[in-house]
Amino acid sequence: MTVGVPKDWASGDAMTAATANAEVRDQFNGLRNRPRARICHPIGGGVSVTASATLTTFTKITGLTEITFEGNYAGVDMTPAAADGLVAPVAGLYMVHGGVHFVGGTTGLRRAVLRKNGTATDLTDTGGIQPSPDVTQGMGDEAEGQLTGAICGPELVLLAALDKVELFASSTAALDTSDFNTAFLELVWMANGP
Amino acid sequence: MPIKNPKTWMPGITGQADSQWTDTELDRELRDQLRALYNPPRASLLRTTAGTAMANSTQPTILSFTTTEYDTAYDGSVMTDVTRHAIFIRQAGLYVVRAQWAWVGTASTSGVRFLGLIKSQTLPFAVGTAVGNPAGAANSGDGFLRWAHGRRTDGGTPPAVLKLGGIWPLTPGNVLQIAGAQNTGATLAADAAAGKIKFQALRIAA
Repeated sequence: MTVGVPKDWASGDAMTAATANAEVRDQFNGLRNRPRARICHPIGGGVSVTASATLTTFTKITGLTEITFEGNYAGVDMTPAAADGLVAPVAGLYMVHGGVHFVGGTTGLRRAVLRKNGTATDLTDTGGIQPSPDVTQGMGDEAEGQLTGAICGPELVLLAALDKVELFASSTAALDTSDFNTAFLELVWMANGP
Repeated sequence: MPIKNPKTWMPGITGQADSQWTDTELDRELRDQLRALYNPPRASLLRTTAGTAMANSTQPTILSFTTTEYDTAYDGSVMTDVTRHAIFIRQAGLYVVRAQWAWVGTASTSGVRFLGLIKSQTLPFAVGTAVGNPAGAANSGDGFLRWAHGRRTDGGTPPAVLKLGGIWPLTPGNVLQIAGAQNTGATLAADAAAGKIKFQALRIAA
């Protein structure tokens, strides 16, 4: 039995207790307890983002040790020991969401991206804004309201089993570590892949 | 009725209810229902090559994509077509819809980048059709569900990425499209990594 792949029934197949548990209970538990996790920075902890004048050097956000929620029916731990990302336990279409919060400033850009498996290729587009006081709309989506934050997603992305999603940031300011949730990363399984 | 945790079955469950399950009924009532939950209607369109330069205008026009990342549903319905400029809703439900678009080109200190999500009830607009004016407040008159309006003020080189999204109840016959505009000489971004230009829909509930 594989969660996500319901059985094709043939004439004469017996509905035993084992079959009912595998094909009814476990399938519905798989849907009810889909892979999901949210990790974030604790108050005052973690790393700072190296200020980058070019904004093309991204720093991986580590120290995401606070687990808001985490779980899946297979029981696989989605949070790596290094608290620097989330691992997809099964293949599928996932909702990903991440963001960072920086020390305030009036110049430069704040940017955040999600990447996969340690590559330099962005899994999501860059989200970020320019915190200059006279600018209210820069790069980023319309929902961003924080002058010192950058959010990427939520987006729908295809992941293979054991793909690792990581949060990167770039800024001319350091990461704000004065508050809970100054950096966060979320991953939720939504559907089978194509 | 409160929903309980799925039952753990014990040996000896062979007793009958009012009718006996056949393999056909198990396929239809268990397998197919589960497959539908695991495989909801979903589609993703990408642009993996640079598009033609958009004319300088504040008038948004219908955009198109080059690649179908996925377009699958258990009921076999297809939500896109070969022109890849629309997502067709075949099954009623609550959908997550999102889109993003990127431009490159002239670094500027003024001008606009506009991106809008349009819902219509009939046939899709053709690629390039002018559909509204982002400067006005009456975008909804053209069927805009949501729009994003950005301005490049940094003078730098990063592509201007606009994103929008939301959750809407949709019904069969609804057609979703993306419209865009720019008036600063920018061109559509080439995006071989397929990360910056996309249009997605996923059914999440009935």
